Amino acid sequence: MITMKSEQLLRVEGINVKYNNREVLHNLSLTFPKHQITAIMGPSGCGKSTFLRCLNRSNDLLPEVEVHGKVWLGDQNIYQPRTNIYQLRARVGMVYQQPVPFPFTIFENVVFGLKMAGQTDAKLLAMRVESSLKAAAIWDEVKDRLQEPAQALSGGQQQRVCLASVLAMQPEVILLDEPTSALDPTSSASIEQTLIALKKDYTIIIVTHNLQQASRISDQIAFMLNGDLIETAPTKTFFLQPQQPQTQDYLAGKFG
Amino acid sequence: MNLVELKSPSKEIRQDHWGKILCYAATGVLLLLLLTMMYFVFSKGIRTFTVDGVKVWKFLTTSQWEPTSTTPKVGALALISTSFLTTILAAVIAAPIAIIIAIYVVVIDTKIGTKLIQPIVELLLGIPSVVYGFVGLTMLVPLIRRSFGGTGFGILAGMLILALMILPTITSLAIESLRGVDRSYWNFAYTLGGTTWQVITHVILKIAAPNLIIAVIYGIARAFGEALAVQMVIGNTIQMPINLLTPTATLTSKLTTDIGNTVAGTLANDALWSLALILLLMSLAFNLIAKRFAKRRVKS
Ligand SMILES: Nc1ncnc2c1ncn2[C@@H]1O[C@H](COP(=O)(O)OP(=O)(O)OP(=O)(O)O)[C@@H](O)[C@H]1O
Ligand SMILES: [Mg+2]
Repeated sequence: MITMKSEQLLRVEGINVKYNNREVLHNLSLTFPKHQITAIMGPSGCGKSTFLRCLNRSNDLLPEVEVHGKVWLGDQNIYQPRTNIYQLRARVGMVYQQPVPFPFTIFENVVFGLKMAGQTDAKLLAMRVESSLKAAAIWDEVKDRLQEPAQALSGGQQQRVCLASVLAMQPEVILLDEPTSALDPTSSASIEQTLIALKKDYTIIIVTHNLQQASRISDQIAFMLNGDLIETAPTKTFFLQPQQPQTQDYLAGKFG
Repeated sequence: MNLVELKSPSKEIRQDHWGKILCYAATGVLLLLLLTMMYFVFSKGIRTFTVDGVKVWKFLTTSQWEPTSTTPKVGALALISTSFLTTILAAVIAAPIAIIIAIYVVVIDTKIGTKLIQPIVELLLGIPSVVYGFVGLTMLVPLIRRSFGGTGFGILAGMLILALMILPTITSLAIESLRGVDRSYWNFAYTLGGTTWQVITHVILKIAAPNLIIAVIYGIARAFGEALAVQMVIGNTIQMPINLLTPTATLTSKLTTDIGNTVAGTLANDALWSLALILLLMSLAFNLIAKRFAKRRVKS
């Protein structure tokens, strides 16, 4: 049991979220195993993005939002008042749904978080740029144009530069909100490859609408409906032996 | 669809046609207005040099203004220096305050910002300059007289009134500039571990910088061209501005003071037109500088 616990880097315990007093997440609990990919699925508007934002407290940035419950990162509840949310966000990196890099150069984008954290060592920054862009599988495409504006890149490339900016912080957990929804199949495939390769160092949580994608890359799937967590299961079990009737309906294509 | 219908243009195309003509006509009127004005000021403004025989160089580098004496002298240096000095000092005071207010409104407290501060700024924007001048005359000038001695009239009073006048101008443009920075950039910086202070300095101000500079340039242009309020507090004697308490005059205040007291065709009148020419050229220059920054913004 003790070994099991160390494998659980992140654990959500009864989280509730209200926007303007309207509850959109109802008492969700879920455990994310270390160095695995968890896919969060469910129809549009069921609360996937909201749930993801609970994990690095970026819901705090929205007005009129109320979060109750606990989220354990290691042995620390990130919702306790003493939490340093700036350090937390460096440990739990997040790539937004359709991320746009800053209107700065590629290099400046990747080192952005490090510089805010006070890192000024030029050598270390350059090294981190290379390793992060490599990990995000975009190094070969941009290594000769690091001083060019990141927004001149294609959509898929921009997404990977944003991923590199997050990886440069060396987080423990990476949250991705539909990272491939706006990409063509080739770019999607290369992001998927990247995520599978990253899994050995990071715990990854990805929101996706794409059943095939979830089956290709995830180890565990959590299925949500109207703010409730309906079913959580290892990927294979989820597809082959879904327990809940709603899950079966979803797999049969009955919701969006 | 039959062929007869296709022969004549549709109603929409005809409307489009008329719309275009109207646009061209309006643009034409504006262009004509601009050209006439430039021609008018140019042709009158260069008479000082072409007809009255004053050297351009002398006009720009001396500061005696005695166009009606037996040995007439017109030197605009004191006026030009005072105009620049009051304007730049006003901008140096107003710009940082305006940007801090804008940060407060857009980032720190949007509720108080949009419900209280922004309406106040808009109200101040609409107050005519003569009111600012009157406030300066009845409150600022006596205050300066009591605190620093002298008459109270002068550059200090002028620049403070100008700073007060351009504060709402720069603030309102700065608020727009900061609002123009997409929220997604803030959020991205926050998720990379940024504090609010870092989001302001590393993201918002950095991205808005070209627009903020444009805001300040518009403020400067307004201050440079302002006549009435300045004239009321600056003292209206022509002297080189040696210190902040010197009573002196600016290009605009000299123009408003004297334009009714001169006869067309005389040196005294032509020299005033030359001052107007300098003002016109300066406002063109401010426009060009602002355009440069606008271009840079589009590129980044
Ligand atoms: N900032 C907000 N303020 C108010 N309500 C919100 C806000 N963000 C989301 N909601 C509401 O919360 C519910 C869940 O939204 P959320 O964005 O988490 O859904 P989602 O599952 O990510 O949907 P999608 O697949 O379309 O991205 C929705 O009813 C939505 O209208
Ligand atoms: Mg979403």
